[in-house]
Amino acid sequence: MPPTPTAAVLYKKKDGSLTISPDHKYLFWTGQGTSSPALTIPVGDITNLQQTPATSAKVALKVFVKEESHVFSFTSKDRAKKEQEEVTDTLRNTIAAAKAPTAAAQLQPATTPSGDGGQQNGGDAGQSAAMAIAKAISSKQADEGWYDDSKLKSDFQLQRSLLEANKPLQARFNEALKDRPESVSISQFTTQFWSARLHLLRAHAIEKAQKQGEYNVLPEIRFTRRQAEKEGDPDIKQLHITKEQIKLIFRQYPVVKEAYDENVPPLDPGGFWQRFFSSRLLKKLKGEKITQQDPLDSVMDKYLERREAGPASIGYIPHFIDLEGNEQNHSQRKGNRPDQDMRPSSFDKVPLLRVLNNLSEKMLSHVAPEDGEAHAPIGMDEEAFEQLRLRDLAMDDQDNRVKLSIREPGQLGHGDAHDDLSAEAKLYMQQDPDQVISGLREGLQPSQLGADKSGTVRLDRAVNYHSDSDSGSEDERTPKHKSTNGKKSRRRVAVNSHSAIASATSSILSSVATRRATSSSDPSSLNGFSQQTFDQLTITHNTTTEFLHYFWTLFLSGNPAHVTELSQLVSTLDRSLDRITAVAETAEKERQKKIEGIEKQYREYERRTGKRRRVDHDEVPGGKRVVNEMAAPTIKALQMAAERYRRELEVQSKEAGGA
Amino acid sequence: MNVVDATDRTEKQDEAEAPSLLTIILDTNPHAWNLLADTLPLSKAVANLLVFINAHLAINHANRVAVLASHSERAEWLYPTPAHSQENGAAKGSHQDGEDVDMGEEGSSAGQGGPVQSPDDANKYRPFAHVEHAILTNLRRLMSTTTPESLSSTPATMIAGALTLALSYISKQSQSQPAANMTSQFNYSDPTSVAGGNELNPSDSSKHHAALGLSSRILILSVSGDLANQYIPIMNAIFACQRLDIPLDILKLAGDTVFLQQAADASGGIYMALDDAQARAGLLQYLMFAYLPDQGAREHLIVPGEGEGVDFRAACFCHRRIVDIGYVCSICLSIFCEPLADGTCLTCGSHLKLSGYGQRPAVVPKKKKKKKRALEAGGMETPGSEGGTPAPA
Repeated sequence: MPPTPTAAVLYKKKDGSLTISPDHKYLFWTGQGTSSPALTIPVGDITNLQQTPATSAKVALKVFVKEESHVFSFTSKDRAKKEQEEVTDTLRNTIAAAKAPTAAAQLQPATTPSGDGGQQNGGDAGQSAAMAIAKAISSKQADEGWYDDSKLKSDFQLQRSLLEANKPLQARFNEALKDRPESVSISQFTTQFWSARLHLLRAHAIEKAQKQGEYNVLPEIRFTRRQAEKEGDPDIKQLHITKEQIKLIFRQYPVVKEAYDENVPPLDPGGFWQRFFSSRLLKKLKGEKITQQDPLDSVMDKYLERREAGPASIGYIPHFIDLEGNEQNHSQRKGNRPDQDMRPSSFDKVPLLRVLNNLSEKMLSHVAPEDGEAHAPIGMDEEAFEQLRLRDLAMDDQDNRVKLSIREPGQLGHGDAHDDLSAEAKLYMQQDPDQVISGLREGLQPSQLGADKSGTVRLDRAVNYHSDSDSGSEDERTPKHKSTNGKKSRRRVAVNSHSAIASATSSILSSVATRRATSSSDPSSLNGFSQQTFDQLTITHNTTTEFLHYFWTLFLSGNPAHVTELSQLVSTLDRSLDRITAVAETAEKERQKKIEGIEKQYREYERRTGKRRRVDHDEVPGGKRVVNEMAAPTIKALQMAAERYRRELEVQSKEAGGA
Repeated sequence: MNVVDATDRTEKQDEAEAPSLLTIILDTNPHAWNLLADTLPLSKAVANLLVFINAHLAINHANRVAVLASHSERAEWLYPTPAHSQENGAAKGSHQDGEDVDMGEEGSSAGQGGPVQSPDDANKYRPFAHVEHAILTNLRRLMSTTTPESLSSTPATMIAGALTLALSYISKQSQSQPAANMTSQFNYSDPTSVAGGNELNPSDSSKHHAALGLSSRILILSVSGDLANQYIPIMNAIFACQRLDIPLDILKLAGDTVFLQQAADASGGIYMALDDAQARAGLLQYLMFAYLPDQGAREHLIVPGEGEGVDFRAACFCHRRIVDIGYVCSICLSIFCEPLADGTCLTCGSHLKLSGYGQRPAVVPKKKKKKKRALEAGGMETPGSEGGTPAPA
């Protein structure tokens, strides 16, 4: 446990002492002569620390707690500086430990304006202004910074690294940045750009925060066999170990470190590793069976019988997962013995399982725990107890659900369903329900359905389809059909007449053809453009979409501060149209060239064979038409945006003029 | 040897086509059919539909059919005839099985409605006659029980109710199918079948149909629009179909049915609209050509229908308007057509705030101090696009 520093300080012009509680959770200031602390600051609440520069004569520490700040001047004559450092270091370490290890220590020297602290300090405002930030400490919530939108948006380093990792995004970003309207500053643009891509940033941030853990080194190191130079010689075995691997071996297998420490001065390191990798010790560490054939080694074999100590850094193990403790406290020898590999000791039984278990235990212990404070007091504190409680069995678990009360959707209706009715519904209103019903009833009588005299419904007649009849002759075959409304209506197209069937067939076939075209079209095809033109079109489309997005965000925000920006943006949108046209022109030129090429070929062909061939212009793909087809939705969106803007501009200019 | 000890029998069973259940929902909105009387009267449509049903039954002897009427104020079974309506309709209640059309009833209904022969006609395949007779009788009864008052009350049709009936029938039928047990159940304990997932069984579809035993599909013959009132139940039915892998085929004869197009798109069914008289006259051809193949066959076909340009708009919960731009509660996902006045969701009562969106655009620089609008929220900062999402306050 680290010592708890105490220092003599001046706070609000009063003498006293500054102490940090033994568990490093609180900072106390106790006035002289009193025993209970007059000021208590929870260390977790401290947002920032500032100290005087090392060169300054006065020694002071400024502690920021949310909006407040407290200034402590260290008064001890000879130890002031040292005491101040002690307190600051302790506080800093505690706070840093409380924060996630990912929060990189950022030492940013910055001057702060002299605040109220200056006056409290007896007028030496200049000095307090000279205080340097001891450490940038953000509040505890900042641990979840990866999920905080505004933080993601302002983290330029993260954005840059994402752009570097994601090339298409970078291209899009650069293109849009280049073409952005003058009035939009880079920072405005980037904010806008990233606000639509927060999820990418977040994913990237999380990805970057991941660290690779330890791995089992020994199996990774293998001899590489090289063909012997001369015939008859044994093959040369080579071993490559990196510095990192050696470090890991030492960490994971303390026995090896011990052996190394004790033996390397007589041996040279190369020799040591050579012996190690052919020793029985290695086999034991890997969990392999040691056989008689394995060579004996006077140095290494000494360490064979060394008991493996458990991982050093697991200081405290809760009793109920402590196997050894279980063995001692509750002997299970009378009942069922625990599973083979769950028992302590007896290495020789299942060496491999044991080695693997041991190893993973060790590797885990080397990883800083994510869910607990590394410097937390050893033993079970309140929080750990809460976590370990069998909550399922607890009677009164706190209900932390959010209650969602749903109202009957029917009650939401604001009435008047009638104004949103379709045109058909309005037609229905004009019909007489009585007539409608009676007409339908009559229509469903068997005679209307094509029943013959005996009463059998002759579907063939009702359906009125005769494969051998032509369209003209069907009327006489139709059973006398009165129109259900009693009106004698002359149908232009008889149901299931040949023409109707034929047109139905062709319409189905054409829709099948369309489907087929869309489903089988090659996504990598360039629609007859060259790769360059196609890319240009893609980029133009991308940037246009970016600007449209920006436009609508600004337009719909209704913020008058963006008026000029908006008008510039509209002209940018207009320019986007020009850009699309430019691409179309390029494509058209390309196509013309292609046509010329074909014509030339044909002329050549004509000259050789005397036969003429016509160039079918429709056969040559690409060109302006295809560009316009592909960009049609974009163009429409641009026009829509411009139109909405102009309309609004007109109305508001009029209003402004009239007012 | 194999033939002798009959070891190849199982193989043969596997090769047999899986039977399919075709559930047809016939929109019988009288108003709508009256408007269509000149081009395609209901009687003609029903006759064509009967031919289509016969074709379906003829393809595979195990194929089944169910027909529902989505009437103006209720949804009703046309085939199979539900037990209770038979008892109501016929004086004699001598039958036990609801799926069996009672012969004794024929006399009475024939007496009222004309010389309809009992299904015992030697010139007709009996199953066809059964279906035909049941459908026609029930349809006639449905029309005779419809009152003019009920007609004038609503312009819409009970598609949602009919869909629900159809789904429950399909579920019952596929459970009674011996091969369908176990596999067709949604396994809640299986972590791979995510609750939000669309497919009941994530296995590949060809195996899926074989395992299901009965492949079902629904065909809606729609003539009327104005379904916005039933938006929520319809959408729920659509999602159920999507999950149960039941295609919803839509044949639209008239009316504006935005949601039905979405239904076909979401469930992998075929959507076709016969908008003019010429197209409607070819009804039978459309039915036979486009809608006859079942799921098994469709896997090998390029299906017709309008695949592109699906209208994905939704109806708002407050006025049942179909909206282009809607406002969605971030808690309960209710859709509203305009920003809520007091920031309280009408469905779940959550307090929402909407910032930086939906304000009247400002395009003219303000000269006078006309700062009435609450624009301070946005400040000088560029509004992020995420400002459009209402957050619970």
